[in-house]
Amino acid sequence: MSAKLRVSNLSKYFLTRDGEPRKVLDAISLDIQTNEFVCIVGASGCGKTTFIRAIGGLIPVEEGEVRIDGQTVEGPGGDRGFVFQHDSLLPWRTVLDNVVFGLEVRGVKPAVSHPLAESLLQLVGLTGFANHYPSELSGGMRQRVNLARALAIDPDVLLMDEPFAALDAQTREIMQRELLKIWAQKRKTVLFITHQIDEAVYLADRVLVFSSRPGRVAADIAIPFERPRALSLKRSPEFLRIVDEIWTLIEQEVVASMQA
Amino acid sequence: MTQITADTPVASPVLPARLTHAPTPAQIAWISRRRAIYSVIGGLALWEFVGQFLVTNPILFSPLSKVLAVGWKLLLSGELMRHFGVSALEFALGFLLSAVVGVALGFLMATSRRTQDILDPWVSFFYSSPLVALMPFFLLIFGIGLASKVAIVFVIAVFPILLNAFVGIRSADPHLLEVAKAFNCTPRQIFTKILMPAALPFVIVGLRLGIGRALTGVVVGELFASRAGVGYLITSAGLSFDTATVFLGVLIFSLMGVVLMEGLKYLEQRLAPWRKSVQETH
Repeated sequence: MSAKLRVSNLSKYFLTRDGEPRKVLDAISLDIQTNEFVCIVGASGCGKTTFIRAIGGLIPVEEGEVRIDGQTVEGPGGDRGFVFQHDSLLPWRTVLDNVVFGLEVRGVKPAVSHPLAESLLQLVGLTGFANHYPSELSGGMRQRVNLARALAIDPDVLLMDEPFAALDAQTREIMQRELLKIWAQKRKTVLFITHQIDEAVYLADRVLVFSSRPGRVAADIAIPFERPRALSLKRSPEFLRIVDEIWTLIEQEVVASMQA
Repeated sequence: MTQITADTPVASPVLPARLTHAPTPAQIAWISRRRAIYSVIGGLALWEFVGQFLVTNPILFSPLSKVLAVGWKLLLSGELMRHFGVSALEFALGFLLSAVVGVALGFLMATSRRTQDILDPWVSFFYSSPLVALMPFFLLIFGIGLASKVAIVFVIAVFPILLNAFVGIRSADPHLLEVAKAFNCTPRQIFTKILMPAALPFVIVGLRLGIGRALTGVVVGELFASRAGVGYLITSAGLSFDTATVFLGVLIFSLMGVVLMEGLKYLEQRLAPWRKSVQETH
């Protein structure tokens, strides 16, 4: 079976203030299978957010290519749904109108998009909030809307850029569990960026560890836990062992990034 | 042993005194409103009192009752509505023109680098110029009638509207533009679905500033040279030492300003219901 998402030799350069090109992503290649949940972890500044933005077509890349189902993709497209880290809901739209945004720009009629959005709101646990404005919601609820909006366009691949980073610790745990529940129902291919190792190990089938300057895949670790996974899994010795193994891989770089 | 029945008085739960005495938000709002009403009534009473007993010379001051009486008389003769109609028309045409041109040019400057580069020095220059000084020029070009008044209202109201529309587009959250990109919006969709709603609160602020300036424009235009209008009424009354009519004219302009500001506030609540707080007036 060929990969759902295939990245080959992807390199990205930024220009420094002096106009010198600096490599931030170095010939990254990876395959993600259909319905696989892959997390990328790494120290801040390792290029993981740059990587997912490049996959999403939000920024151009200088070398390499991205294929979905064997088709090369350039620029953003409906085959990829993006869930943003920051609060990215449109404040002047209600929850429902935010969820249908991606469908609306493609010209899907409200008669079709609204029932779909209602069912997605039910899926993410926001039944009854359709007519609220984002300012009336908590951070966790807004990220649920963010997720529903990405799911609404029924993408092949879901790209999630540290979606729970801004949430408090308890809300984040609940959202992780909810995300797995939703993923189990929707069966999407997911690429998920995080700086939290335990989050990555809890969610993923496979964790890719990025090393810094330039970003490279330093390790590819299969996560053996059965699904569905309870949150209590995070306290098990095997879980902690894997977290520790990954931490050891990136510790030096985390320290380096703090000094930079 | 006592039997507890339905008639037995039950001690009500004792609440902390500070809790029970705290006013509710609705009560606080009502207290604020009541204070404002008292303040207005007090101010009007003071106006009447000063005019009746302290400054009795009718050239130096005029009590509220006399101003209202003059207003009533002018209203019955039809003269008041004639002057008001002239001023209102000058205001409406000048303000609408400045709103349309200001918002359009502001949006154009914010979305086109080239337009911005070309227009920027001129906007900066005119925004900081005392444009009322152009009135004699407008009189020469457009004559004493409606056109010169519309011109002065337009030039002094258009720049704050233009600048606020410009800033509104420019201050759109880059994160939201990224969302638009991720969902493959066309440039037109980015403009209508992201930039325009993001700019709306700024546009409203610009229009609010524009209303104040446009009213000033009407007054300046009419004081300078005119044959009709509330400003004309004020000038001619001033020349004949008729202070009551002068006060009446000023009162009419002030009420016009208040009504228009309130109308704009209502419009903002209708157009931008997601904004909880109404911005302070500038």
